[in-house]
Amino acid sequence: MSQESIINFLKGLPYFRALPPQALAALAARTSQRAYSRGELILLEGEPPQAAYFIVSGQVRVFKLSAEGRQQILDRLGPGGSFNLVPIFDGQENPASAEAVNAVTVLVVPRADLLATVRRYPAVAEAILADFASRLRRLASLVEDLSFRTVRARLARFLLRQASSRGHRLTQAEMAAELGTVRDVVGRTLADFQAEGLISIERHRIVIRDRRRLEALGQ
Amino acid sequence: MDERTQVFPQIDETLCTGCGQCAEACPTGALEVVEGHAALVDPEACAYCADCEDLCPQGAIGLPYEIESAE
Repeated sequence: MSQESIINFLKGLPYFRALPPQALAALAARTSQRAYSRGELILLEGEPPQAAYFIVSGQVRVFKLSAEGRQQILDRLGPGGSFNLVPIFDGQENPASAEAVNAVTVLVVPRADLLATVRRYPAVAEAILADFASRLRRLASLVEDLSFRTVRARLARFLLRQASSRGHRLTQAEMAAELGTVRDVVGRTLADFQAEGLISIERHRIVIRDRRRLEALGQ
Repeated sequence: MDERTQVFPQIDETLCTGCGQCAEACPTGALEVVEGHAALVDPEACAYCADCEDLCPQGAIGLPYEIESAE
């Protein structure tokens, strides 16, 4: 990407929208571009904080791994999304790992440069706080889901959410990682839902047939 | 090839050990072991039955699904 493209991309992000042109240009000059292929690890949990990442293209999965190697997805981000911001602000190690779901291009803003920008321009801090608040809400909802709902209820809600957002394709293993369970359980539960007439599985399509009953199940 | 057959099982070659259980289980012969890894040699024959995904001891095969509403 050219410097001008980087400036235009950063200007389009909520964090940097209010930055004056010279500040934007200075930040862009310190920003680098990186590309990752499908499945490639971008960040590892526990590494020291280096930079904030902003997605130009592709999808990124942010996750934690259990000691047994089970993956719990914390967030799934697309173009315009950002990750690795928490360690920028508390100076501690990365709380999660990130990997490329498909071919990904990111812009990388070094920690010192982002902090300097935040200190100098309060509007940037405000925008970041609003984003953090939104993420905290999502995490609280995830905790609620994992703590209080059965796998059946979580999968029911998940299917309804995915259908309404016309999300991208997912394997059963990926669904399991989002729902805090394992692939076999997702497979059996989908088969149960089909037997109960809630969904039909038509090759690579899971079609919701009884939305009302699925919603009731998700409560 | 119509849209229905354009979505196929994904095989992660970094996890696949070439054990061949998937190829043995595949009811249509769509999967074979080629140069030490499972490969979808006949995509049009794939019935999307998920036997390969169920059997793979490494979790190397995943069948992607789209989720939509009939209403």
